[in-house]
Amino acid sequence: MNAPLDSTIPTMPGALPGLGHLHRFARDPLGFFTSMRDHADIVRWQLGPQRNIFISNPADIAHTLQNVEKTFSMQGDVGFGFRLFAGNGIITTHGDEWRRQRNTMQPGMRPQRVAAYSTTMVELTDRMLAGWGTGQQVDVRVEMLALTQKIAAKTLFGADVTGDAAMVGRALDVASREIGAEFRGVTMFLPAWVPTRGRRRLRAAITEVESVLYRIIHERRSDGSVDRPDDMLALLMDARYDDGEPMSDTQLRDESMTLYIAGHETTGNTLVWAYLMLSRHPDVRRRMAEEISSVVGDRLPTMEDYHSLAYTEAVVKETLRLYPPAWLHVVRAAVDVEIAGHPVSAGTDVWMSQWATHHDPRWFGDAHVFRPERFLGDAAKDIPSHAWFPFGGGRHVCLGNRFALLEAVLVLATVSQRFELDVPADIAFPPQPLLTLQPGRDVPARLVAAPAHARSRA
Amino acid sequence: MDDSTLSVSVDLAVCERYGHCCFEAPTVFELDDDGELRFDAAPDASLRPRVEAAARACPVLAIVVE
Repeated sequence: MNAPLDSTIPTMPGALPGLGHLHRFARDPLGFFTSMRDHADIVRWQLGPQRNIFISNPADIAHTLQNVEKTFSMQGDVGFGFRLFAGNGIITTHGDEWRRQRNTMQPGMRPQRVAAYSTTMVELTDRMLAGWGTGQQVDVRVEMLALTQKIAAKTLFGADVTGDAAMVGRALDVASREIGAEFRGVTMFLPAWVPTRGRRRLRAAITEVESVLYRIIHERRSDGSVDRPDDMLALLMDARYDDGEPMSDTQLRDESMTLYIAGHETTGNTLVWAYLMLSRHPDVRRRMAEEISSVVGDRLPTMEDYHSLAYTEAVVKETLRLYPPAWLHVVRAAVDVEIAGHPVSAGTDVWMSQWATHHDPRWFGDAHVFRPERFLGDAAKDIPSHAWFPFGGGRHVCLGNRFALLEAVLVLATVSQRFELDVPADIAFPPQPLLTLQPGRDVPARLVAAPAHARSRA
Repeated sequence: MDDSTLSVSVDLAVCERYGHCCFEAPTVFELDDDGELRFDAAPDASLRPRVEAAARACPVLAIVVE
């Protein structure tokens, strides 16, 4: 059945009998993706018993993503840990089930709705700043993940999770690490009933997060008021399918878990990387602060400012290029297909890595250098479609794409009016490919009064 | 066709109301309260970069700009 596939696609060297390339993938997935990218645009490789191909050319990535739900499906194996966390939520489903869920949730991310969320984003950021003081030391990871968590809970579920943020943050650290570890190791191929210590830790962490979700859902159900909020949780709870049935409790759990985690962990880590980059690039930080100062001044930023904050948005885009939260994407050929002129047989898993393509010197000059200017004006036109794809693409493109960009820009703008964050220059933060790409350790920073703020106080 | 305007068409049978175009070019594309897409088929030529960005951002490639 694999005969046509085997014939023309270059094979990645270094496979071991039985293991395939598992040893290389597990040790350093980002490095391994990069070496496959440098081997050829389309490469055959093997993860345990599963035969895969890896593609890295933006044209092939665009073609593949645009044919998801046609000739490709989202059935690629994502491992036990990821399934335990996301269940049958919108990230893991495909076909009619996915379409039904996507149609239910899409209205919650319409432009008018996303614009309405902007006020909450800025207010919660401002509240975080009220607890900050010049000269103080903060852990940027703790601060940003707590902030994005509160924003996600408030905008999507109308819930205040201030009291839960620290506990959920710790549980997510455990879950992210365990899912990342399993993803890279042999345990990914163990059946779900095999108990491992990591799986026990993961289950306990997920149970903790579920307890918060169940409380939020319970509060909404027992809320008798007429003016129920018109948010994502309402869309999920009020949905009625063709047979008149509401979403099952399991489905509701899976979707709210997906929204809660995917809705904050990704943007939280993006902001952490952004502050790290801004601290290391004072020229960029100065230019961004000048833009914010001239567009927004002393008042709080709004949705209307967003379209004028082009440089700040470029800072976010460049951060997403260098440190894409989602660092790999797997789809499965649903039928026999052709990629880059090679026949690929049905059932083959097709892997792509934002990390490998975003760091490819063919599409980005000085690919390892943080340079937001690439995303401005004419320079942006030189970036091939899907050379930058932090949100995926095609029909399964990230539901919260615009929410995330807006949130990151507004948080940067609000903080920048008051503080700069100085991260010690002598600490290295090698990116850890966990559930999302993370610094993998605390990110200490000293709060310095922003120049504009210091001036307005003088 | 006059040079001062663009020609924008959307295949509404293909469009799935993702709304990405509305973020890229808010003065050209709009999802109304019922979730239906409305758009200006002949926007000013100065909007070309935004309209092209909208066409590129469309997850189902339903937008054609001439």
